[in-house]
Order: sequence, then structure tokens, then C-alpha cells
Amino acid sequence: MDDKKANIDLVFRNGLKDFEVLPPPEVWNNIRPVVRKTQRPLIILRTAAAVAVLLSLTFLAYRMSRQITGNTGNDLVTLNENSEPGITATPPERITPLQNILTPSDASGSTKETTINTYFPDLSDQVTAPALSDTGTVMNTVSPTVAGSVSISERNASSIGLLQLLEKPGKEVTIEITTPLFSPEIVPEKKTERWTVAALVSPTYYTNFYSGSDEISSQLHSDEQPLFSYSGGVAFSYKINKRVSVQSGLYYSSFGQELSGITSFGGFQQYDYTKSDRNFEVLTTSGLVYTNNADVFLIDSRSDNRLTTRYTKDFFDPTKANLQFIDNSLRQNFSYLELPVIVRYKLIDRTLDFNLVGGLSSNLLVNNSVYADIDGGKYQVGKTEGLNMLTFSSSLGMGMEYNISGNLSLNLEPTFRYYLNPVSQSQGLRFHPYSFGIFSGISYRF
Amino acid sequence: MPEIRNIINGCLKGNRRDQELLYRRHAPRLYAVCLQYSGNDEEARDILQEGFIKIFENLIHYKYEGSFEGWMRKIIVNTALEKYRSRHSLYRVDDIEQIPEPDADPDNEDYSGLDAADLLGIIRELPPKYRMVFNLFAIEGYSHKEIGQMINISEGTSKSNLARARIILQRRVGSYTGIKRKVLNG
Repeated sequence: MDDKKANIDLVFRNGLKDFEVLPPPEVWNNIRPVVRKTQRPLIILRTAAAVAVLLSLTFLAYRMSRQITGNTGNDLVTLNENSEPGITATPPERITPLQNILTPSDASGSTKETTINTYFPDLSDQVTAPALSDTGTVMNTVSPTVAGSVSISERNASSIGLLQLLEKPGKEVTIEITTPLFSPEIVPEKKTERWTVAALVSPTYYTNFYSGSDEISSQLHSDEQPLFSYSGGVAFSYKINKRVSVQSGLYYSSFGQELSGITSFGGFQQYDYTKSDRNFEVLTTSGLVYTNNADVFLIDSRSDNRLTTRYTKDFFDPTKANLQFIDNSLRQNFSYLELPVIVRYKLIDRTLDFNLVGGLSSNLLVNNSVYADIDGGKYQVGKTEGLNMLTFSSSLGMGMEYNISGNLSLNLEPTFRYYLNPVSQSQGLRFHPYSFGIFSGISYRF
Repeated sequence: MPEIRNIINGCLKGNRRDQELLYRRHAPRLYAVCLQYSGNDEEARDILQEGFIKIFENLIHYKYEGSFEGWMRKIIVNTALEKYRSRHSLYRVDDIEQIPEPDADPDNEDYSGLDAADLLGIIRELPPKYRMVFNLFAIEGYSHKEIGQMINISEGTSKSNLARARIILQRRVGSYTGIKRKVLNG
């Protein structure tokens, strides 16, 4: 008996081994444009990914270098004032000391001489700005080419800040520069606010268009409506120059669609004779929905093409079995964590700024569910099969920024987003998702 | 004739001539596979079309390990499987037919008179689930356990589907051989 079985297998295996049939010419004609189209997104995706990685690395490297520079700057000068007439700061390592002399003298005629060693670090981009504080700390930033000593004589004051001295009437302050190459300007330190942190949230309209012309795709599209979607998160941006800044952050977005005409019933488990929970499959533009809840029973009241099941209407009638009606439609929901890399270009720099915003985002799928609404709650039905875990999207928007105080701004950014690769891996269905949202939030510069 | 490696490299660079060359060279063999897995010509054309799109999209992942034709065939079979899963994985109740036992003992049947086109015609007359299980087991060499996972059925169901497929095939091959013999002998 086994030989007989093997025999029939061999007949077909050997008989069909090298069999060839010439395919109809229209097959290649249909493949050709698709192949041509698919080459470009592949290149774009790779380029986009490379640009995103490079930008991220540059961003991180710059951030780290800034931190290192900041730490060095804190060690510029420490002034130790004591009862001794001379006050000498200890030079930190790796810093070349030059000497400035400050000589304050009080009204009683007793002159207190304060000697301050000012240290010029080997940093080519630093500029001097000496400032004497109440506590006697001098903050100097000096060009390495400057060498000289500064002598300050003060009457009627012994230990107050230099800037205060300048403002008070009746006090005389003389500054003698012994060997100046040029006079270091005494200016208050002006800090450039390059970093911005923002919290943004947006309701979004998510939908797709399809490039095919087949009847099934058209029908699927007409029976699906977008659900309320939203997106939000935290963004950090770094100002490269007056107009351009680079932004990244972490966003969470949730979107979905409603599948009309798929009626769901509960209480089917007692009639389910199969071991598998996957009793129903529904074809959608975002992939194949399958049930993982053995208790659910589905009927497609609009089409014969979307729903596949062994429990057809002829085989099982949910109303006769008195199953509990749940809803007339199913809802697909997808959630993503998004890591964008965005470039902002300031078009108008006023109290109300206008920015052109564009960039790329990598989106990681974190939730995939299909449910029906039941009394305001969710009745879990199943999942969507074949979704891409990682998608890439491009975005373009117009950002408006209203300065409400020195560092705080209100933001409003209408943004259009187009997904570079489809949400689903399903072949044959050529749907192109896109979304539109108006992000609003608050940002803080520092 | 250009080496397959050169053609693949050309395809990867988006060279249309190489893409067409690859298609012309391998499509006839792969179309026969598509026909073997489908019940009608339209479905076979769809499988070939989608399969070749995947082949072009995934060429970059081909590492020149094993035969290139085998690699392409696997993609075509997987495409046929996807198609089957989307349409037939939860087969309709009316698909389940009672298969009668073969009326003739096929042990002594002589199948030598059947050519590949005859065999293809016979295999395509099988119900979808039997055809899929028979193809995956007898032609591709998958185990029942693997087939069960592929098309979401139990190992036992796969075995019983194969048994039924074989019975149908034996019966049809037998009757086909008899008819052909009669025609040839006048």
C-alpha cells in the first residue's frame, strides 16, 4: 500500500520535474512597471536611513563635545580671598597662567591689594570677559593671544563686585592695564539658547490611497473609514544657526480604521468544534485580520470577498443559535513609537515665528489589535497579520511659534506625513498610507 | 549567455534588460509551478506576477548559497501559500466532499502514457486543500508537521488530506490512462 502511495507521488514528482509552460505576455507587462517603481523607494529608504543615522550620530557627538567643553569652562579661575593681602588662585592643571593684578583700596587709606591669577585655557574659541563677584570669584574668558595684567584700584569699597562698583556714585575705580595687546572688554556673559525641549500632541487624520484598479481593492477601500487618531511626545531641538535647527525626540502615535459591514457576535465558543481560534479571516487594506478569540462569530453583510471561514451562513446561523450581537463593524488599531529626525528652517523670526519643518521618522509597531465596540468598551476580536514591524515616514509641515515669555513658546504645526513603506507586508494590495495632523504644544529654550 | 551572477547584479542595479532576461529565462519553469498550485490560469498568473515582484525585491538577500532556481521556486511556493491562506485556509464547508475509494486497483496501472501536461491537468482538478497538501508533501518534500504550520491545520488533517488527494489522483490517473489508451488504440 505504501509503495502504491509512493508510486503516485513519484509519478507526479518526476513527471512535473522539468516541465515548462510559457506564461502569457501580460504577466511581464504587469511586473515591469512595478519593478521599476520599487527600485526607487528602496534607494530612497536606504538613503533616508543613512541620513537619519548620520544626523543622529552627529547630534550625539556634538552633544557630548558640548558637555566636555562645559566642564572645562567651570575650571577657569577660582579666587581664594583670605586675610592675607595677596589673594592667589591655584591654577588648575593643563592651563597656562597669566597674571592680572587687582588693587582695591578703601577709604581709610589702608590699601588692600588683591592679586588674581587669571588662567587662560588652551581653547581657541574663548573670549575674555572678566567679572568680579561679591564672593571674589573671577570669571575670565580670554583669547590665548592676550597677555597682560589688569590693576584695579578702588576707594570706599573693599570687597564688592566690579560691575556694582561701576554703577555706584562717589566711588572711583581705576583700571590700569600694564601691557595690553588690547583691552579685554568687561561685558556681562550672554548665554546663547541653543536647546529647546517641547511637548507636542496632535489629533491626526489617517487614511490611504491605492494605486491599483482591481475591483476587490476598490471595494475594500470603500468599506473602510479612518478612526480618530492621535500622536504626541517630547521633542528636543538644537539650533545650528539663526535659522536652522535639528530636532529629534520620541513620539507615540495611534491610528486605525473601521471595517464596515462586518457584524460580530459573542458566545460562539460552545459551537466551535475546531482546536484553532483562528476561525475567521477578514481581508483589509492594511493586511489580513484574523480572530484569536474563539468566542467571536463574524458575518460580512456587504461582500463575499472579504471574509473567509469554515462557518459559513449556510452552516451556522448566529441568530438561531441566539448569539449575542456586539457590533456592525470591526475596528483595527495600530500604535507606534516614533523616532523622528527633523530639520526646521526659520522663515520669519518675530514674536510669531514661522518655520518650515521636514524630516524622516522611523516607526516601531508596539500595538496591533482588532476589536468591536460593546457598550463603550472593547470586545477583543483578533489581530492584523503581516504588519511591518518597522516603517519609515516622511513629514512636511509649517511650524508657528509664539513667544509668550523669555524662554517659553506656544507651538502649532500642521504636518503632512507620508509613509515610505506600507504598513502591511501583504503583496498585491498597493495602498499608500498618509496622515495629516495639527501638532500643538509648548516649548522651552535653554 | 550571461552568467546568472552578472544578471543578478544587473537586476540589483535596476537594469531593465537584466530583469527581463532573468524573467524570460526562468518564468516558464516557475509558471509551471504556479499552475501546479492553482486551480485556474488567472490565479497562476497572479502568483507568478506577485512572486516575480518579490524575487526582484528580495534579490539583495540572495547569498549565492544553493541553487538560484531553488531559491526562486521557494518564493513562488510561498506566494502560492499566501494566496491560498488568504482565500482557502479556512475552507468552506461545501469543499468537504466524500471521496469514494478507487474502483480499480491502481497497483498494476501503467502511468507511462501520461505526459507532464496530463499530470498537471490532473493535479489542478484536486480541491484546493488537497492540491496544496499533495504539492507540499509529494513534490516539495515538506513533512506533515511543517505543512500543518504552513497552512494552519493539524498534522492529522494534513495526513488525511494527503491520503484523500492520493486516492483522487490514483483514480483519475487510472481513468485518464485508460481513456488515452483507448484513443491511441482506436
